[in-house]
Amino acid sequence: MPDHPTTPANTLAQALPVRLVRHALEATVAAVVFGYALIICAQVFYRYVLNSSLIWSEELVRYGLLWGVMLGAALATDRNAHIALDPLREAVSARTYRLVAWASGLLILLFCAIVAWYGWEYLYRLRLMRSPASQIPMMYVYAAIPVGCVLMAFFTLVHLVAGTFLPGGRGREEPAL
Amino acid sequence: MILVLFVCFALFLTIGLPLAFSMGLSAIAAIALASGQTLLIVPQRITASLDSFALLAVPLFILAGELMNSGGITERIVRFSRSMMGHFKGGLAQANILSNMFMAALSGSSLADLSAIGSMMIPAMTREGYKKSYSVAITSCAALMAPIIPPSVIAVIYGSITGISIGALFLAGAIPGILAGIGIMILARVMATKGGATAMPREGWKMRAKASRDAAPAMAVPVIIVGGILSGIFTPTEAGAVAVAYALLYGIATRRHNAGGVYNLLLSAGVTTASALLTLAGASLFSYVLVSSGFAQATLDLLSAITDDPHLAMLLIFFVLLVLGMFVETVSALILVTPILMPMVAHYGFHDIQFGIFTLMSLVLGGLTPPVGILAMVACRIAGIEYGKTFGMLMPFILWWAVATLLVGYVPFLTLWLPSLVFN
Repeated sequence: MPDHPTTPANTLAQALPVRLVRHALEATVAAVVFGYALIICAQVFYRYVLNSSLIWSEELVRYGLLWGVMLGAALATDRNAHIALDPLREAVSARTYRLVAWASGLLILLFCAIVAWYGWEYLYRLRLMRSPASQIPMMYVYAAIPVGCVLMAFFTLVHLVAGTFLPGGRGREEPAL
Repeated sequence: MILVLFVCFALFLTIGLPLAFSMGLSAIAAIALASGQTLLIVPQRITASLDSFALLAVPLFILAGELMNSGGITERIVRFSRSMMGHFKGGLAQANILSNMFMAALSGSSLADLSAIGSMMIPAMTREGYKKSYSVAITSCAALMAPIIPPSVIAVIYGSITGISIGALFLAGAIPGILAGIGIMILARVMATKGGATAMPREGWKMRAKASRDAAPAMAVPVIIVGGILSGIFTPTEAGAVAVAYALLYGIATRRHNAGGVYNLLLSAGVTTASALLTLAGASLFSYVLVSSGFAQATLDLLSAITDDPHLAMLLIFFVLLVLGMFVETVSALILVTPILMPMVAHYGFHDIQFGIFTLMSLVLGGLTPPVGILAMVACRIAGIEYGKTFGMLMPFILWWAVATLLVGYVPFLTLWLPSLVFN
């Protein structure tokens, strides 16, 4: 997978506060993905070796997936790794393309704003609910949506301002599927 | 409502908005404009589409595949295949296909397999005098087996949308995948002279025994995955986690993994999963509008007005999927059409597992065909040849895959026999 496209080191996208957010986000995503494997292996181990099933493991990794996807999507925004078609890239002039890129950047911001807003309302309405098996307050689970959207909006804004925003960064590639 | 949906979607895609946002935003626009609907449905659909234990198999199999590639498992499989098949005419091509078949049984994604095997095999084939277009055609077509032979990431996604057992889908893909692979081998042999294929010296049995011993730990993975699911020890998700653990320990034992490398693989698996599953979430909003606006039913009515014959309907569906797969990336295409296809499965009395594998095989073919045959393009990049110059060689392989797909659609035994041993 291509890394983050080469950007000059002095742009906003490489400024210290942005780098701190990025590193924290990266560490969290890596930990979440490692957590999936670890917890599910533990689940198998408990069932066959210790003969006692874990009751909380399945629920925990399922909610972890929501967090992993929302945070990973923010990281994908930072790395321009979202799946896009981007047919105009070669068809129009660089100047027009910059306008087009801004338009799609603003649309991403709009999407994040709407989803974060309603995600927050959803969380608020269900704030008293707890998960059936492990009694996790569901608001911590649903918080993934507004948090992920805010981070996605953050990286979109950073790259728009820094001029390193590429909506179809990976062009016509699909993820490794 | 449906007009707003499609107009916005087309506009957003054109300006390069990523698929997940294009589908999500056009669905939001359609929902907002329909009176009496609250947008609270948006977070509700997003959480519902991602809240699934089965979907966890996606990051796990992606991670397992990456760990195996960087842990040297791919290399050993390629060396084993070469020592077994290299002395035939077109031996490297055969070894390439065999490696892809083994890798398909280890990992669930074609692009990862293609880059791993292609970067070893294509330069080797070029050195031995094979035509680049021939190597590209073989490598990219053989990579199509990855999402069909279990494990398969797209089968996980398909199962999680439709509620069909993912274990059953995995088992159902085994025979069609191997059958397609054998066909690719035969076709590669038939075209060997045209492709400038040569033979390598036959390796002695001592060398072969060594190559087999080296590859044996890798061969254990399909046994764990398929055996575990067949015997009911694991769910597919658990098989994914065990495959990750195995690949990680193997790489540590052979000293190919270090902490920094594994950290980067975890990140890259996290990002790849997120971009695929965010698309899934966006598509689930999109398909919610498709279904609630009556579009799915209208499509079924249209098809049943054309024909009442299931065989003909299957053929029509095949062509529609083929065209869709040519333009839309596989995961998104799959999520978009599935809600529309499900009523058809019921209406025409197709078997859902058989129809599932048929759908997957139809859609993945878009990886080879223009305008955006991503697998063929990546193979061309490795080979250093223009995509346009490979069509002549690619065409027979594309045709064979289409034939294999139709065989799966019309011959129930291929998909249903293996699952019938376990699931009833």
